[in-house]
Amino acid sequence: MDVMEKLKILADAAKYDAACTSSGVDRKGGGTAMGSSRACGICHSFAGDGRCISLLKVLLTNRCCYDCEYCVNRRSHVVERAAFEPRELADLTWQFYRRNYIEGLFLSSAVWRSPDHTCEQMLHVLELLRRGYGFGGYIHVKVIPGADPLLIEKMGFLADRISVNIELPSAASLQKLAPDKHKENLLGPMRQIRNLVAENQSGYGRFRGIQPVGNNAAGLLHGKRTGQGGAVPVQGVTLPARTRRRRGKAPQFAPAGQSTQMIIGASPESDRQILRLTEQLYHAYDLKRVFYSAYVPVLDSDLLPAADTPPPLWREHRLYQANWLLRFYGFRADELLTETDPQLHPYLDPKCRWALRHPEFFPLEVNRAAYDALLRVPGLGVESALRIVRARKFAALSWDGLKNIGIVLKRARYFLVCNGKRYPHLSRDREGFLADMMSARERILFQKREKDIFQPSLFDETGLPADGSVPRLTDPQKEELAALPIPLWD
Amino acid sequence: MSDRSFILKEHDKTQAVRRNRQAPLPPCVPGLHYVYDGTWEGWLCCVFHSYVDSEIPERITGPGRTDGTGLFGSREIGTDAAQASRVLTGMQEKLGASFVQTLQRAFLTCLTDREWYMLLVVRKAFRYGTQVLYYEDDEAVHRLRGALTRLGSEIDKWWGFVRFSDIHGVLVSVIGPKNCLLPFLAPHFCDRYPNERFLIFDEVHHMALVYRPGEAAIVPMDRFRMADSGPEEVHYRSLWKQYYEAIEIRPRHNEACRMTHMPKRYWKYLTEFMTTAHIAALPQK
Repeated sequence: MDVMEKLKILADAAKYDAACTSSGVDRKGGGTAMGSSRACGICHSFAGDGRCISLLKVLLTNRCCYDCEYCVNRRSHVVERAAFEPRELADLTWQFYRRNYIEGLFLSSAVWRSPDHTCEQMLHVLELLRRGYGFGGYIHVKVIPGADPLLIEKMGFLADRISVNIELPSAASLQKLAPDKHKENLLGPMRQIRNLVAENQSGYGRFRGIQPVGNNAAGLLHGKRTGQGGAVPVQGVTLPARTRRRRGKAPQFAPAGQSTQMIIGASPESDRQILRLTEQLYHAYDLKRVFYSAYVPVLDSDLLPAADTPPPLWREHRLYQANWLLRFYGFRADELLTETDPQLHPYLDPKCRWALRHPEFFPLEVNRAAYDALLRVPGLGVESALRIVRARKFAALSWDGLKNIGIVLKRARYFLVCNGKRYPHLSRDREGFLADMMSARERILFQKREKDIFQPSLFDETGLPADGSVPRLTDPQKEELAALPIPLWD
Repeated sequence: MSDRSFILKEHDKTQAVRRNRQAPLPPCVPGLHYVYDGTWEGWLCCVFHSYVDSEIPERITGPGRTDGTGLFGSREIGTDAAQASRVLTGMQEKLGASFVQTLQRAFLTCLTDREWYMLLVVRKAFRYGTQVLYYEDDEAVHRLRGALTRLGSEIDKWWGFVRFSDIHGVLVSVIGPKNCLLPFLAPHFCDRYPNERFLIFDEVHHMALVYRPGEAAIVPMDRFRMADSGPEEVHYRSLWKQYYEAIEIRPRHNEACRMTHMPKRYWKYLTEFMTTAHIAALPQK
């Protein structure tokens, strides 16, 4: 089998892994034969599904001894199998990188013979690239659950980012759909990696001389990252940080930290469960990112959604929005979703929904509200909030001033006052207000499908936008929308 | 008594400064156009003359960009190294190196009338301080900031979208950016490929970045035709094209999303969109 065929099979088998980021590490070239890395990450292309292609995302092999229900590579599925020779894959990465097709390698694998055997093969590729070729590009490697901790440690010293897929949002689903994988096998390596990263950055123990760098993105607001030269807790003990770094003395363990991914829509967990798990992963395991992958039915199984179910893209999208609120906006999972209302809304984004339920928080005075408070206004993001804070130092902002500095007011105008004045033309009816709360796409879908909330009519579902996975509103949801107080906060 | 007079004097001084700060810039002289040679030094000389004659022109135009309308009021600004360095030193001392760097970046953007907006911002910065750069309510600042943001995102895009072809051991690439990007691409690619020889041709601005180990230069280049490539190059091109097609999850196809991130104007420079015949026969350009 030639490289062409192998690449086709093994890229095809790897594509359900959501992550393709090359961010989190700034490394100058020069010290290596070829390659550098930028903290912001670089996208090299975008596939037909709109996802970024940054890394060469392939499996080392799709020969698998596990039988996970949801996976295309499972043992009982009849599919063409292939495996890369380590040198073949290293060459391919090198040549793609040279032509600036990619930012580096994302190496994952099916479980070939045993987790240890697979990890050894993967390690071989990494060693060849880093030590043999002197490759300085980005490497993201996926840990095989159940592999020896020593192998994981070795991989971490060669890779920039290391990840363990948590696969499903609960132990029960894991037991049901992936009987060969156990919760402890997934969380064990995650703990190990977290500790190694922290130890590596603390400058103590085996890693003397390495300066700590801010690694924990979770729950920390922009510009307030701690850990930059501060103390880092290692296994519960906080040691004072070293201040100076001796360059090139000690190797860095996974400088871009660790991430994970879970499948959405293959199992019955609520959005609240998923979000709480996400929050926990960010806090307890210091993850850089938690990725979600909407389940695409590729296999027939009694345990899974039917083959014609569209992938729940809207849900994935909403979860990512909530994920961002946890990472950059200072929200907690419990604020966004409650026990009585555990699902994200099909038409309203989580921040907007939170705002509609907390009228006591609004309206905010643009010229005085704290940065953290501005972040909670629907329609204002990190960039907009920063712009407001910067611009109002110079002169008080008016509504026109806000427009001039590029703030989009479609939603934000309902939640703000400017020098004590409300926005001059606020929509006074529920329908207009709700329309302003939604994106153009959501609005079209909403108006086609759910218009009977306001005026009973016959349904006309022709010409609906493509995403057929958006569910119809439930009765309580409809009542909630129909009962929104108008005018708001006068 | 003497103490009091001192206080009064100080008070008068601050009042004077405040008055000066509140005073508007001199008005634009209607119909006055500065015409300069299009270089950074040339623009510095425009700033010089604007101060010396205490006037603000209505436009500043480069050599190829006169539209003929205001030509009767146009004023040729000659480039003078001494004047340019005087303005530059003044800016560096009073406004700081990072402000000057921001201006240099702005100078390389494709914003129409950027020279004029830059002049306004410089004059304001000398009067009110460098924080004017954050007062985005001002039109000149807003325009320049917008252009700088677009420049930044275009740099990000081209860091990823440059596609090299290996032609007889030299990596060559053709790009078509809106802004003048090569000065920003140079450090990135020279750092990334220290041991390669490469050339990036900017077909919009007719410039090329050429590099061989230890040496890099940006040179003017009218046109460039890529030579035919060997079988190895064809092999990697087709591997990449195939990878690109295999990595898409079909049930999630989303053309709008792809176009948002990668507008069609980039496509003709990307290997993944070359036709099979193109890949084999090669010349991209």
